[in-house]
Amino acid sequence: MVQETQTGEVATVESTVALIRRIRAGDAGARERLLRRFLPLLQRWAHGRLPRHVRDMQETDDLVQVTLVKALAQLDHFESAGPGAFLAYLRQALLNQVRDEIRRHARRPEHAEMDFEISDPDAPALIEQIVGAERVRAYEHALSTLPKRQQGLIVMRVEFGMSYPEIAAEVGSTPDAVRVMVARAIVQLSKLLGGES
Amino acid sequence: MPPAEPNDLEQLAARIADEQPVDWRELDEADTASVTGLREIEQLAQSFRHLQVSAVAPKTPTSNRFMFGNLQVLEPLGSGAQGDVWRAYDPLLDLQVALKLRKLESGVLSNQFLDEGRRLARVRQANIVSVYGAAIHGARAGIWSELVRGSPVSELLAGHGAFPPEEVRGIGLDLCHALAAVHRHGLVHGDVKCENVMREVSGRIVLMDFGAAREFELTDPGVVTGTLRYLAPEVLQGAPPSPGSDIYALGVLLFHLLTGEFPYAASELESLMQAQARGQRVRLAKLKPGTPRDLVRAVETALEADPARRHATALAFAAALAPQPHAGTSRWPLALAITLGASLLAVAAAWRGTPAWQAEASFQRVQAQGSTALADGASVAIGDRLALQFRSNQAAYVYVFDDDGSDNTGVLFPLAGIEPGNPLAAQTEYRLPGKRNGQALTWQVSSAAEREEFVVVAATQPQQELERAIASWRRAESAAATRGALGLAIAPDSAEVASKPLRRVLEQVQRDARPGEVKHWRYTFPHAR
Repeated sequence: MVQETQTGEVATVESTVALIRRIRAGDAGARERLLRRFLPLLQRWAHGRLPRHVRDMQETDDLVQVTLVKALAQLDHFESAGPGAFLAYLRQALLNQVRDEIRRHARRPEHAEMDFEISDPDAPALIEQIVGAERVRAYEHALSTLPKRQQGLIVMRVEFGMSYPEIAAEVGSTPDAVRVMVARAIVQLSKLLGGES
Repeated sequence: MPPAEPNDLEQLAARIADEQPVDWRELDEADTASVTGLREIEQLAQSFRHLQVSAVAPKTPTSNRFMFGNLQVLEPLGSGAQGDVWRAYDPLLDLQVALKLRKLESGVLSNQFLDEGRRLARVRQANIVSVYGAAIHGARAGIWSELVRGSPVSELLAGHGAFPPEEVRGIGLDLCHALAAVHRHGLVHGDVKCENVMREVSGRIVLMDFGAAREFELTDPGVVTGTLRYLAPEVLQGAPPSPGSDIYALGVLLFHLLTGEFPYAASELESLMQAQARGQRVRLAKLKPGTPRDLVRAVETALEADPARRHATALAFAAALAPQPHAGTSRWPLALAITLGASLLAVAAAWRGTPAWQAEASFQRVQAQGSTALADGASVAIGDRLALQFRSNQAAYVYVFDDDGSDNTGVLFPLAGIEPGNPLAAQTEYRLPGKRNGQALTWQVSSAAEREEFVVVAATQPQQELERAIASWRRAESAAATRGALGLAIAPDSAEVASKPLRRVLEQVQRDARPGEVKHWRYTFPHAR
């Protein structure tokens, strides 16, 4: 769905695993296709994760491009932990970049101590209510304790807004099965988030 | 209610993953950790979606159908008597918006349309769809507004049957505040009905489809037919829509949510007018016994055939709908409650001071377009930015606290590194929290528990007890739990501060302080149902 508005094409033909295999075999076209597949997805995602001062479209794009190119350069070190893992890996790499960016901009000590954050009145509330919020940290923490496969499913569906057919192509399954797997992963996550041991 | 079955949880999770609205009503009492976690995920998922939507870059024109001024029109969302609605991208706001377009028939109409749009754009309230702008390009006039994601309550009603009374009360309160804001701007909604009220996935209630209603009524009989059962008797007899007829329509809406029925059985214009003239109205108490009496009274009053006998204003309706205080606390006369709601300003309830010292405190919602007073009990939502306007005729020490109901007290003012600090000078208009390095700051609602409580304390002398408490509270951890939209209501009884630590300290302060030395204001933000 989101894929369509961004690129106008359906990017579900080759799985990422297959693409990575081809890139390793020296297929430049595969590299291009992989970039094309993930760049808009990650750009959109990073757009929401970055603080306002670095949220400028160009800066965000630069950050994502750099991360993606770096990740592709280190493709040999990437050990696939199953379908969907590459996207989760990219997301983690980006998240680290984002954290560096945030750290670079001085943070105010009151932030962590109150339910009300001191904020620049010009900052867009939509972004700010996500970035740096306590609940996002709780979510990240809970997510990180899930099995990798479930992490990937939640990230693809909930964070990246990929359609079930897209995810199915990614993990080598059917859309219906993916829908059930995503729901189960969400239930697992909800237990962790709700404080159930 | 028994805990939710694993299978139910999976279905709920699937709905969240499918981006479908979830009806939490049946699960609210199943207080399992999983349900709490699922609600949290639902809200996070919604936020992620918002971000995806808002991040669609202007450089991706592949799916553009056409441009409307600055807006890139992306796809049709629906069409109706009032014109076509499109999903569009606004590169200036960096947001996707809903764009309603209609062909221009005459110069007069287009001016009306634009004027209406401009006025609507000034109405900012959490329960009203935000209108961003209105313009004419080529042969079309357009109004663009917030893209709301959720279901109309009419759909929820059709899918799940009548709503529980307490939920109807909550929806009614939200809509009263929405209508109050509309009426304050000299506008009339004119088409309040279940189909025009959305419940967002987060639970936020949003009043939709403004403005055009009145204009199109004359040209399209279909609109009148569709909303016939919501039309007040005087409107059916030819009177123009008024705040009073909006109140009537809201009464019909709440009646409908409670029962699934309408106050008059007739659905044809003529038979409806006859039934109204004869007073053949179905009584709510008969149709739905067991509904709380105050709720029945509030709805029935709104449905009075004579406008003069209805609630005088939307705020009066809100006051009648508001849950009554528990036994044991003092009851405030209705008139006073309305005044409080209407001004929401500087109600120094513990006004034990000498008349000589006067201080005023009022919360403001800070937006890109400027600040608006949080008048008439406007609700606030996560992400809203607030500031406190303060003025005193004597130098004053001001302290602002919040408590989320779990006795985690946060200090909102004074804050280290932020100007001004205490004492605040006399005869000066302050906007708190103040400035850091010359940059104006606000408080942002970033999370919400069952309830938020704000306490503002002002004193002519520094308060040792409070200063000591601040030292310990500032280290207190904030609560992480976050829910949906909140309704802001001023609490009439300042003696009953709910937060235990705050109450303890305030009692101490009042014991220690000299008469007239301390004032305090209290606001609560109950969780919207």
